[in-house]
Amino acid sequence: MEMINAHIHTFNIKNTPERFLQYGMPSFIPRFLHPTFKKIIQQKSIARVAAKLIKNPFLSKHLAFILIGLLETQDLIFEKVKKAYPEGSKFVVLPLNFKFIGLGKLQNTYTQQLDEMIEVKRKYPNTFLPFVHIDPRADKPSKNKEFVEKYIRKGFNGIKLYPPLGYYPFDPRLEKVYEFAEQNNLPILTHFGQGGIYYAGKNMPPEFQNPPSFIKEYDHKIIPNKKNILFCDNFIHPDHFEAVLKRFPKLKICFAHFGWDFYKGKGKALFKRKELFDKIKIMLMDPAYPNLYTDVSYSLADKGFNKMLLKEIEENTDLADKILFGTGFYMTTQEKQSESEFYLNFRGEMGEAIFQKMAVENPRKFLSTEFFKL
Amino acid sequence: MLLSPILDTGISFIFFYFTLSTLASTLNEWWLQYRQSRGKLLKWSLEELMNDPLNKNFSDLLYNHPFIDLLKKKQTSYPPFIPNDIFTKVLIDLIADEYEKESGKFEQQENGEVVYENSKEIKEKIDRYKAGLDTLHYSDFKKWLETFSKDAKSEDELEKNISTWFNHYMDQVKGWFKIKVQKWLFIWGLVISIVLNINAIKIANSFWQNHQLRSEVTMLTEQWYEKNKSEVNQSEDIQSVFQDLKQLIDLPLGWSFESIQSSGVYDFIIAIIGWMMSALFISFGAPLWFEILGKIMSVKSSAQKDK
Repeated sequence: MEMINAHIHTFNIKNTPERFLQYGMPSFIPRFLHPTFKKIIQQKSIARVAAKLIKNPFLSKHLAFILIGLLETQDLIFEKVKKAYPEGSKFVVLPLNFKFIGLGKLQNTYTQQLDEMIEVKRKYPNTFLPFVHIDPRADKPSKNKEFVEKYIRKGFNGIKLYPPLGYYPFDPRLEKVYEFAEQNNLPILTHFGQGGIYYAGKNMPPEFQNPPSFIKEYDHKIIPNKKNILFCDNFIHPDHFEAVLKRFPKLKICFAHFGWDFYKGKGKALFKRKELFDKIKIMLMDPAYPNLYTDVSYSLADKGFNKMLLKEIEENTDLADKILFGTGFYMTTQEKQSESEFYLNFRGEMGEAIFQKMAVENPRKFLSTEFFKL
Repeated sequence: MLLSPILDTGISFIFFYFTLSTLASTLNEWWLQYRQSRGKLLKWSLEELMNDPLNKNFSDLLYNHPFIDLLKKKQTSYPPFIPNDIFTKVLIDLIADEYEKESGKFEQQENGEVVYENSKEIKEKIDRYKAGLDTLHYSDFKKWLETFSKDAKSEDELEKNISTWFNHYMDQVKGWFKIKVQKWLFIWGLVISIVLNINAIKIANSFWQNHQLRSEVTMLTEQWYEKNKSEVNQSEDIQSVFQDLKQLIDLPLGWSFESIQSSGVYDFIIAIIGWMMSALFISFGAPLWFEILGKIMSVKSSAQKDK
């Protein structure tokens, strides 16, 4: 079985901004001590012990970055994940442009991150399937489309969106990108879960509250919140995506994580735990969105999620045709299970027939484009 | 008459800090190896030069090149040294590859296999290098690379230009490493001075005032110097000499409960100054102390001859 893991990351610590640790830093550490603390925690031996002891979700994420992300190149990270799967398995590799996260300068630019991915793809042309992340704030609408097109024509397999970094799916600077994606049957994979990485700048720009939109008929509602992590859930509101899909009905899009909730902090989250999951489930079954998919990346670390998912599939077998297998490596390294355990346990829990759909048939449909067939 | 005590005090003092410097150097060497300091500094120095934000991080590409990859002890470590010819070949290869990357793309064949195809091939390496340079955005790094190829008419000339530059740059990196070593020697010197309570002021005072101690140390030094003046037998021999020194009861080394109890603030301040001086003397390094020892020994022997 030539399986596909539709959601992994290989970017390393050089692709993150200089103050990336800061948004996971416990509040009792004074700001002036952050660089010292960062230096200490970036020692691998210390990070290894800290990863076992620290339970802060953001700090754990940073520690995962340290333990895997300190590997010098994306190549080394990819080799690490490859080992956990049968020979010939394919991987959708998702970069992130951290430039606008509000935590300072990047050590390596975003294009350097993408160019390095081309290097890895030259080594593994059939198994390394890179996507290109587009942040609409990077450039003008036409330039954003040109940027995406350049990398797609180079051999990238799809487009990645990560709205909680600070942009809405209906951003006018994305319109031409959607047009290009729809014309060429390109897959778009967007982050879709509460928690995770989010815009962490000190002040939230006013356009977060009053954003421009290319869908004039859509009346977007934005719920104010002073906490960045809670406000940033506004960016992934399912209604925003529904409006985009109404405008581009053939758009092939995957809502990552099946909307599962990773938020572990204080304060009231925008959505209740199962709310996004249920909403996605309804949208997946809606014949108006034939090209809509979801994936189980990271969510599969939660045994409760897997149980619930299996129950839902047993009740509605068509749902299995809309789900992609993915793990979210290497964010998953903060969990107790290893990558191969994630994959094997999930495969065991779902059973062969369902897993075959999720890891082979569905990703093939999702990833086939005008440029590449799978 | 006064010359002999002055010389003997000097010899004892110099020899004492020579042994300590050697001990600190051994610890330092082990520590720098453990921390991969040489490799990290080399990586940093190349990163400063080759991480071009307007183009790419060429230092990452360099370290990921199979030629350099093979120099690594393990995948997560950095080689402490990159041979000149390897750096030259890899740099040319990386820049030439930029041209191939620009013109190449992934294509799917009829059997579904994805292959990387490059339509335009250039035979001569120097031309590929120049074509690779043309694909880069204008930057300091590009300008730097252009200086190598500007007046080079052949591949050999290009290699020679890069190689000469790399030699000079590595000399500079060696200089930076020396400064780093000295900094760590001072830290080790301070640790040794505090742990063994080596107060330079007290040591000098003891050598000057205690005739017997001075004679014993001078004798030990003369015996050792006679045996080692042509070539210093590093660490093991020095460590045994240091053990001999420590056994001299009158040498003011170590801690005692009584001395801590009886000392006041003034003693403590003097102790801190003494430790700092010791650390500074240790950081001078064993080669310098050995050289001074050689000079003072020859002064002593000529003084004895005159007598």
